[in-house]
Amino acid sequence: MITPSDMQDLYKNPVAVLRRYKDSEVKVIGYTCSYVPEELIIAAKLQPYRVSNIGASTSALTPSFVCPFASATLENILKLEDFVSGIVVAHTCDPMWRLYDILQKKVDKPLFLLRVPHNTDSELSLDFFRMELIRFKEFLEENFGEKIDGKDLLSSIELCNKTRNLLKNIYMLNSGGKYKINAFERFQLTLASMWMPKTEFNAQIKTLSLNNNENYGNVRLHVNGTAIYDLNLIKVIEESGGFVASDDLCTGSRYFWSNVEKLNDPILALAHRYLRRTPCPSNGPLEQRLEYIEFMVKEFKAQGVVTFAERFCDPILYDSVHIRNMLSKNGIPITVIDYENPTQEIGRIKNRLEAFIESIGG
Amino acid sequence: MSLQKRSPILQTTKKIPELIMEYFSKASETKAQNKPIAWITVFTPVELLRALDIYPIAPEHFGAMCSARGFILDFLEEAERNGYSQNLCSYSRCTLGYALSGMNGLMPSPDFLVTFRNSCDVYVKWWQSLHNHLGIPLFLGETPYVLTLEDLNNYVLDYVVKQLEQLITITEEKFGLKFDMERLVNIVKLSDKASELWLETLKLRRAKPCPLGGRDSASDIFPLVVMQGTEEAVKFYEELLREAKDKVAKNEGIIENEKFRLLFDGIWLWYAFDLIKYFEDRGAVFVYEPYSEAWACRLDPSKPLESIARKILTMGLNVSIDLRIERFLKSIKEYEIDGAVLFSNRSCKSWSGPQLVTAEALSRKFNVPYLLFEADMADPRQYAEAQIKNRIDAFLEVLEER
Amino acid sequence: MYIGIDAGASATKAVIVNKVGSIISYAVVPSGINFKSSSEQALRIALEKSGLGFKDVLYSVSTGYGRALVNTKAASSEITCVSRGIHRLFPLVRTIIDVGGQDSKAIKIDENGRVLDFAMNDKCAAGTGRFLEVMSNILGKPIEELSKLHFKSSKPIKISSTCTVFAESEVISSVSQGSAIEDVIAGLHEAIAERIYSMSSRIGFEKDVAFTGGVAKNKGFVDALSRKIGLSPIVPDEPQIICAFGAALAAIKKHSGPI
Repeated sequence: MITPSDMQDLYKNPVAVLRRYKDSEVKVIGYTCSYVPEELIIAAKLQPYRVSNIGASTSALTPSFVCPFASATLENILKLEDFVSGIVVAHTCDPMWRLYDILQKKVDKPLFLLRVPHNTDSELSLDFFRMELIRFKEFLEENFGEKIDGKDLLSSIELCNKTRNLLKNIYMLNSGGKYKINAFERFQLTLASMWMPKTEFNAQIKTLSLNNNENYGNVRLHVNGTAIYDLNLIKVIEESGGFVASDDLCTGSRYFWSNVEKLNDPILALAHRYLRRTPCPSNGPLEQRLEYIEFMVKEFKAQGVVTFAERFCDPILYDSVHIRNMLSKNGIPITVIDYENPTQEIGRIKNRLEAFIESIGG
Repeated sequence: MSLQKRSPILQTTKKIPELIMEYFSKASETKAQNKPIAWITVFTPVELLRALDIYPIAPEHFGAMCSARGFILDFLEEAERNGYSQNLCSYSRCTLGYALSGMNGLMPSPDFLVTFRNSCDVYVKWWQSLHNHLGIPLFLGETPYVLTLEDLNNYVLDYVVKQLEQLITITEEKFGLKFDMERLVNIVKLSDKASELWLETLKLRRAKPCPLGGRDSASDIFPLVVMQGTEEAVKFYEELLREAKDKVAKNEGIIENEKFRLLFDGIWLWYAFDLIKYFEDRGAVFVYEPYSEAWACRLDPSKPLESIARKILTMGLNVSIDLRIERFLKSIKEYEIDGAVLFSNRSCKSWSGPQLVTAEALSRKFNVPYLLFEADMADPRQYAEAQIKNRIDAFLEVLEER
Repeated sequence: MYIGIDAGASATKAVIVNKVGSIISYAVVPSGINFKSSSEQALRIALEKSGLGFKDVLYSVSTGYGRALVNTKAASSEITCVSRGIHRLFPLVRTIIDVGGQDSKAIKIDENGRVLDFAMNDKCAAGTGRFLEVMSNILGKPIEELSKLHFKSSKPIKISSTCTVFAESEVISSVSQGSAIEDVIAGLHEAIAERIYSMSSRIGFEKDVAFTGGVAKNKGFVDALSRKIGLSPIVPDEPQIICAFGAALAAIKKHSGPI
């Protein structure tokens, strides 16, 4: 259904995929965040589709100081309601939480809020999250008619683990100081895996020959942030003389870094993987996040860190103070770039990046 | 129009500043005796901490107080100098700035950081940041968002009760204290009594003219913010209720010519109480605020941990939008409300995020005109006074026409 | 000789240096909306003043907001250029505070003039020259006069808004309530100084500290910022051209290796 070159272009217009699903009568579940276990959706014979902020401007339904990401995501969900059979929102940060409140009043399709505990390292939270996933399973079964049996769940876990392994292998190509693949390409693929059927994705990844990167010798950087769908932000780094060696983005390494284990209770296995995966800016202990970033910087020999801090993104704005402190203790330069609308501000962002890259020695 | 520069308030309300000072000086004494102080986010189970002999202080209240008394700017600027963006919650910037500048003011430094994520997710980031700067123990609790009332009886409740038990165990271990259930039961009784009295007092605002206004309720909530479970809190609310009842009996209102009865949705603008006066000078009084009501919650001393868990699950913004709109709309009829003022607070995405939806419910279901304006609750630099007063004038004209 | 062109959002500056980096001449023109023509104009005037011709130019580097649109051999960021320029003139400087027409920056450099860290305000008018422009329009006084009047103030007004638009309302209100104009001006300078101090604090103020950028020509503002930071900074004679000067030095380096 989707050819390799399609795959690499998906990020430009992910909505096109939705049209194809609608035409083929595939039932789609739109979801907002990497905390939502796609495995459960797939086991219910439904197609998961990651809703992004691409292509939407901010919604008039939210105040001016709610982050543009959440606002544009809301706009997209409202625009795309016809193409999906159901919507899942994860409670991670305030705007996304309140998105659920607004959606309750504005959409007719079945809607689910996945309550993700913020104290992810507590055993009690794991128990709770397991119960939440059972509730999610029941939501899918009741609203879309397919009972999720154990075998289906185990095979969807295997499928998603496979996708994650493939993406991780690609990501690791640049470890240890190598310049094997440029970030723009690997982000195209990571995003594509969130929109297309994973069976197809897994099959087609193997047929790709990934370019040997031309940016050999550019300043190696680690990109820190939340969920970035607008790949202009990655492109502009590479145009300013940098090489994105590693990242800790929700739409980057954190999507595929860990797998679901084989346990007798697959729901518990899911709860464990999704709750205890690398902490995101909203959920999880700060110390673990700092460790993850430190690991990436060292493993991928990054010479500096670029933090993309979306305006009004509370988690990133609090975190960036501590990330900066941690990195300066380790002698690693960091620049925090705030933005609201990347496309409109690309000149300004490029200016800052050039100054930063030059100061490192580009 | 009154010649007084400030809003009229009840005699009992005037006792609040003293109560606050006593609370802080007792905190300092506690610190001097090497007994533990906890910085908490509001709606954290104060009753539990009190039963463990831990002295709770709410930096959110400290932020409101600093803003009201005009000395918040130094702390905000200190936080900003350390890299905290001006777009972050002003209470958090105040606390962080205070913590980073030596904590030499009224609020003693903490030994324990305790939060339950209920009002907002910012609590988590804010308390994590403090933990990172100060290096003292942090207890991070989670109260899941209440989607239906079933959550008060199922695994959601279970989860919260277990966390309360965990808090007790951890506190005992870390601070060498002993938890006493009997003590908790007594504290719960007192906390319940204070809530009961405050809820009764709030109901008196249904009277026409309204005996207790916005300037009163803004101060009167203090004992239920951190002093739940104390005798002093109960005493205060007993006195307040007596005075309010007396006013109703004498048919005395906050202002003489009560023309419009208004609802205020949001946290107050702590540095701009003159706004309340601005309304009152034009015959408009605030008779209901979800914010004032949020602090009171009945407890069941026969089931102390369970009822505390239910309390912290349902307070404030942690219940579904339908339940919140229901609360809201009930008040319109009961308090005979003519109009609503909605404060879009830059510091509080949790509250302001879905505010438009609430506003729509107001106008569609009850045909109640509303005014929506944007500012910050504690940061006086984000306040466009002239523009806001202009909007208020227009709003009052609309009410006049009806 | 070598040329540096700084295509800033408000003004375009051209500096001509000889092969050992001494300034031969310079020019400052308003940028308008066309960086290509403003840079050509600035260069033409600088060349006229120098008595040299375009054929004598060995290498050119552009910097500033509009550098991509300027016809030079190479481009470099303002952060690097202003650091290079200051280091050449005042080698003991470790902190640079640069306030331009539409942005402000704080830069930390080492003993070789290399950039260690920087902070920028490039999104908000308050804390830049734009703020003063807006206010000078409202008060009906050219910026040079703002500087002089500043020192006559005994009681600067306090401006609480961080937003230029709201601060405008406050200024109008103060004036109509009878505040002395010099107190309003001193208050405005303090407001910008506060913004810049806040942005720069993370970088620190290791001595020597230098002020550059067009706004550093305003002695009143320099006074307000000095008092806020608590030390006397170095202000070059022509603070507005330091960045273009640094670009010219970069031209020498790129053409023939380090000086």
